[in-house]
Amino acid sequence: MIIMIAYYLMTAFLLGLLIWNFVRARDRRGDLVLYLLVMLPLLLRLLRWK
Amino acid sequence: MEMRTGGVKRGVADKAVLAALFLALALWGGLPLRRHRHHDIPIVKGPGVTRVFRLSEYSPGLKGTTADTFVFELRGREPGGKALLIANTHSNEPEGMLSAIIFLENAVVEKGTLYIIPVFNNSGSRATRPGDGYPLYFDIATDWGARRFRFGNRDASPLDQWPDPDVYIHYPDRQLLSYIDVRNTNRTWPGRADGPLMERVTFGAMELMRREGIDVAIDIHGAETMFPVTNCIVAPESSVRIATMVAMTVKAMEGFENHVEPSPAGFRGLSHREIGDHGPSLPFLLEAPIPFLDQPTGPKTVEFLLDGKDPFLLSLSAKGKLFVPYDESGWPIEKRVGQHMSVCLEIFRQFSRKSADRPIAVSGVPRYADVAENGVGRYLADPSKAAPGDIVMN
Repeated sequence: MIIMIAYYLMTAFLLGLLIWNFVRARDRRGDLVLYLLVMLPLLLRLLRWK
Repeated sequence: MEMRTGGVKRGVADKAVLAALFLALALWGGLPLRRHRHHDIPIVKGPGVTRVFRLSEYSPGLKGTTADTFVFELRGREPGGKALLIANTHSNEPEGMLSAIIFLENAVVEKGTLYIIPVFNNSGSRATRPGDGYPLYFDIATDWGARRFRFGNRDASPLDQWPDPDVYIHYPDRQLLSYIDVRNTNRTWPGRADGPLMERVTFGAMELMRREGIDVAIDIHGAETMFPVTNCIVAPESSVRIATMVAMTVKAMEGFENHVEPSPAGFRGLSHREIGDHGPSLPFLLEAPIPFLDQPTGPKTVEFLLDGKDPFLLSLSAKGKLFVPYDESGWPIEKRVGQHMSVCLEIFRQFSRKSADRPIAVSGVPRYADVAENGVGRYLADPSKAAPGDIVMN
């Protein structure tokens, strides 16, 4: 259970980093889409949907 | 300066649109999965059910988790032996769950006691395999309408047990198993009270068998037609004589094949091995062919799940690549459930012949020919007509 909580915290941290990079990214749409794609599974896991 | 401000505004607008699109994508893909995870199915307590309790009574580590599941007790009119039916160990093999539900909605136990766990891997029954195009639900047609069931996955949901190890080290033999088997309730036997969640599930069942003195434990499955261990009863040394008698009897009396496979002593974690090695019960694992699980097939539709018809398997059958006879009629759910019903009843009968002081006698349930002729739906109760106290939402 402790390891599981640690993994959720790591997921939240990674998602925070990706959101931060997404917000600060310049105009390159390809990068923005890639950030969002990587965020998707992390978001679904944090919401406990998948 | 104005141009730069305009560019920044356009960039923000782009990001907002993209983020909204991806959020919509997450909602579109994620919400059905969330609904599936929280969708309970009604199970109607039949005339023989005397008590319903949770497996956490025997494994407190399950309390409050999604892995906790219901156990139905059907205490007989006369004392006798005790049997445990376990279904949905793998939640993508629904013939087991349907057989268990037919038992608990129809059976009357004349002698002995029957325990039924219809959804053994409750967490797995609330997960799916989107990459394989699994349907989330399936309906069984009945005389009064359709009855809906969740279609789950082989392994428990990572939402309940995460992360997986690199290698699963089986307890207590320390055999190295695939990482994913840590979520497979047919690799985590005999389990531990404080182990990973799925070990606590199997530990609960082991404790039930040990404390209640269960004589016969039947774990009901389905297996691919291209997998050699299919359409069979898997039995260890202790139960192989009964299994052989059962196989011969159903073939002679009811006309279907269900051969016996020996339980390998060197492959740990399986119910048919560990139940007998760590408890008092005689284990049996039943396999019926389920073409839906084979890999080289067409789309994984509900229709295919239920009728088992597939042109690719038909072609492979002609080339001798399958381990069961296969023709245009497929392997319909009626046949699979019917086989399980008859084999379970025959195991009870053969056990009772061998242990006359501990008989197990069950009436009110259909056999192979009944289910094959009338369909599975004929033997499912209508939850809308049951008293609220007689419905268990699982």
